[in-house]
Parts: sequence; C-alpha cells; structure tokens
Amino acid sequence: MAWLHIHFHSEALRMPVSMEVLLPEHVAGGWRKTADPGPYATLYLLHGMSDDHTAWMRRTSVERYVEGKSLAVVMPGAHLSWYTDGAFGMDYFRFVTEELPDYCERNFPLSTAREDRFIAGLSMGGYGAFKAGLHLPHRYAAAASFSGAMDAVGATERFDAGYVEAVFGSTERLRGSEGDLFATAERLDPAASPALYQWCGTEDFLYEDNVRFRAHAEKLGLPLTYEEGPGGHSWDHWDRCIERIVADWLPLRAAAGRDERPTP
Amino acid sequence: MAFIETHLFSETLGMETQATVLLPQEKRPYEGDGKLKTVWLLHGGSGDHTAWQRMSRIEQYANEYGVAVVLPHAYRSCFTDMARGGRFFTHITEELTPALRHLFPRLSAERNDNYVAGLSNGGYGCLRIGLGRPDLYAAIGAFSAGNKADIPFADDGSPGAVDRRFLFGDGDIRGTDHDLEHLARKAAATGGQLPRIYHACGSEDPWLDLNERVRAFFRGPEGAAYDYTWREAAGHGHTWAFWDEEIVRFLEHIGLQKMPRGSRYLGG
Repeated sequence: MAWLHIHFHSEALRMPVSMEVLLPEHVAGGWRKTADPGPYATLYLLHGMSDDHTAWMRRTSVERYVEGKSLAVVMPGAHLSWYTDGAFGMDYFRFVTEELPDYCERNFPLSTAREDRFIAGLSMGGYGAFKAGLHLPHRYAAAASFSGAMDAVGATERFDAGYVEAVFGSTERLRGSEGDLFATAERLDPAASPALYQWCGTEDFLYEDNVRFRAHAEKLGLPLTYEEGPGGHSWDHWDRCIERIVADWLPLRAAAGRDERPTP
Repeated sequence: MAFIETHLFSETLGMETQATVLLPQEKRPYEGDGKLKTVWLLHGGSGDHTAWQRMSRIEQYANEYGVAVVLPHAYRSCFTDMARGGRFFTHITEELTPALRHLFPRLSAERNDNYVAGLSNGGYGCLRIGLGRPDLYAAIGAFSAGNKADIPFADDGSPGAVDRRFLFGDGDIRGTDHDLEHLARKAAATGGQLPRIYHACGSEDPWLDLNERVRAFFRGPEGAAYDYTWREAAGHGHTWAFWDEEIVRFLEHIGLQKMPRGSRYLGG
C-alpha cells in the first residue's frame, strides 16, 4: 500500500498534528496493488495512552492485513487527550470526528458515505472509538474497541487531579456526558447504532469494565459482537484484533471489481 | 501546509520508493474542487526526496504561492532511464505522476497546471523530463543545468567514467534520449505545444560552460520554437543559496503570484 506520514495543521487544536495513512495503490494488474480506483472506505484507527500516531504501524502488521482490500487506514496522533474536547480549548474529539475526516475525504480518494467510515482503537483508543460511534452514530457504520477503557469515570479516580481537570474538566462533568460511554449508550436508538465490536483479555486490568459494558449494551439491545480470550493489555492481542476485524467483521462493501487505469 | 512523506511501490523500478508532497491546506469550509497547480521539483546528484525541503524554504514558497510541490526520489539516476540501472524517466512520467494524482486528487492533471524544475543533475533532469514529455508540463525551470551529452566521455576507469557507463552506457549519447538537444528537436518536430524554459546559472558555477552550451542551442535556429529565458546570476556559484532564490524566480516567471497572507490556506 502507499504509506504516508503527514504533518498538517489542526484548527481545532491550533497546532500541527501528525498522522500515518495507508492508501490502496491503484494500477490495473500487478502485485501489491488493487484494481479498485476508489473512492475507498476508511478505518480511523486510534492509539492508546502513551502511544503516538506511529504505534499501530510499528507494533502490528496492520498494513499486511489491509493490503489488497478497498480500505484506507488513518492513524492520527492524539497525545494524552482521551479523544475528548479538553477543558482548556484543545478540542480533540472535534478534531478526530469532524476535522480529520473532512480533511482526509477532501485530500485523499476516500468515500464520504457513512457506510464507508469506521473507527477502532486500543485502550484509550477503544474508548475513543466507542465514544465516536455511540455519540455520532450517523457518522460511523462500525466502531471497534480492543481492551477499551470503557469506564472513563472510574479511570479519573486513578489519575492526577490536574490531568483529569485538563482532559475532562472534572469527574462530575464527565459523568453522564458524551464521554460517559454507559450514559451515551442509553441515549442511543439501537436501530441507529453503528455495528459494535468489543474484545478484551480476561487478565486485563480493564476486563471487569469491559464485562460491565457488554452487559449494559446487551440489555439496551445494541448490535454488539463481544469476544474475549486469555491475556492482558498487550500488542500481541491488538495485532490479532485488527487482523480479525479487517478480515471478518468490518462491513466492507464489495469492490466494484472494475479494472480501470487512472488517467495521468 | 501539509508535509507528506509518501512511500509507494514502483513496478518500474522493482522497489519501494519515496516522495515528499507539499500540499497547501485549505481553510474549512472547503470551496470548489481545491485543485492545485503542481511543481515537480527535482533534487541534484547528492540529494533525495528531502533535499529541497531541508536546504531551501520551498514549503514557505509553496504556501505563499498556493502551489503543490512534489519532490521525487531518483537516487543517482539524473532522472533518465539508466543504461544499467533504474528507468527513472519512465518511473516519474508514467508511474509516479498518475500514482500521486490518484493518492492526492487535488493535484491538477491539466498540462497548464504542471511544471518541472530542478538543480544540477536535476536541472539536466527537468529538461530531460520536460522535453521528453512536452505533453505533460507547461514550463521547465532548470537551475545550473548542463546537457550530459556535451560531457566528453573517456572510458578510463575513473569514478566519473564508471558513473557515466552506469547511467548512459558506453557509446556516444548524442542523438539518443539522454541528449537534451535531441529531445528538443524531437519535441519541436511534433508540432505540439512546447514547454516554456527558464534556465539560470551562477557566474561562478564550475559548470557554467555546460550551461552556456545549452543556452547557445536554444538561442540558435534549432531552439527558435522555444520560449527560452536565460539568466546568468552574477556572483553566484553552484549553491543552495542560489537555488533557493531561483525557485522563487521560476514561480514568478510562470505567472504565479503571492497570495495575501491567511487568504485561503492555513499555516503560513
């Protein structure tokens, strides 16, 4: 695939941001390329706390799993933001869910249809993906969480007070807001929900939160595929998770199978 | 301005290759189709797809003039189809160009929106490419550029001779596609549109004489069909300071204008 490292400007964050992007390379015929000229479906793939925009590329074989499919992957850097519009003007949720897709769909050969837009992530990124999918169901057809931090309210009790204030304002402000996945799930019309996928290792420190969220989502009748397995909070599992959802779960529409050369 | 480092697979070269793309970033909400004029900007003998960015202020200029810039990586090929190496002329004109236009739909595919420029080996290269495919580019900006066919070849085992054989083969290259004069004659004979040529060289450049031979051709009868502009820059040598100035002169020469700061694009 074509692999792009991009530094561009975010108006939401008022500073430069970085991302890695994988795009299908199109030429009719030839190995390592796709016959489909696009526009392509897009997976927004989010990193965890302590990672950056390069984490998915370096720690998994995501490019190998996606190669040959009509799917682009966008991996933004979101620092320590919890994919949240922070209390001091750093609007990371708006950046990831509005500005970033607008920019990518404008500048790369990507589909603008909701059916072709997916979001997934690990840990803090799993939380971010579900927040986006549950709060903005009209924008995403699928959301996936790998070892996601499903209970952000509980997480705030583990962090430094200054950090919690900067990211969430306060625990009380977070509770019941769009950043509270349990509350946001309750507000969602199940018929309007994106397809949801959740995986967690049974030895992960976030396992109990994932079990609770699963029960909550199932009680609400949300379209959730839940899987678990032995293991903890590590990249071995997230590599397998991304392989799994790309191969079998993401609702990729069949490529048209056209064999067109682009005009120079 | 978005700074994009691109890795893509070249079937022509049989390997992964890289290019830097500088893409002016529009303010939202987006208007129109966002199509961009594009300068295909070539590095010199010791450079790669990062050279222009590191050694000049090209990203600043691209933003000021509202133009996209592509910096290909052509290793030590002089941007030709090497006799015993990669086919870089073919790679850039037939493969990289449509590939990047596919990845970045804002790059205009109109001939009048595309220009090729370069320094030193890339100065030869931009003439090689622009004259080799006059249907693709409206203008050529050649900085410190000579015709490789004008360099006498002695097969004496020196590093220069070894390079030359790797690049161009063993025989005389006059009258081949490595010869800029041959390409210029061929292009003129097609009767089609010809690129405007801007050619600049410093007065202190060690290869001024080679540049002057190119000038003599285009000022002579065989170059009459070309809109050819020559500039000898007093006091300048074969240096980045010179090329950093010349790229701006070239943008102005092809009629681009500085936009008011903050008008359409971000990150000035």
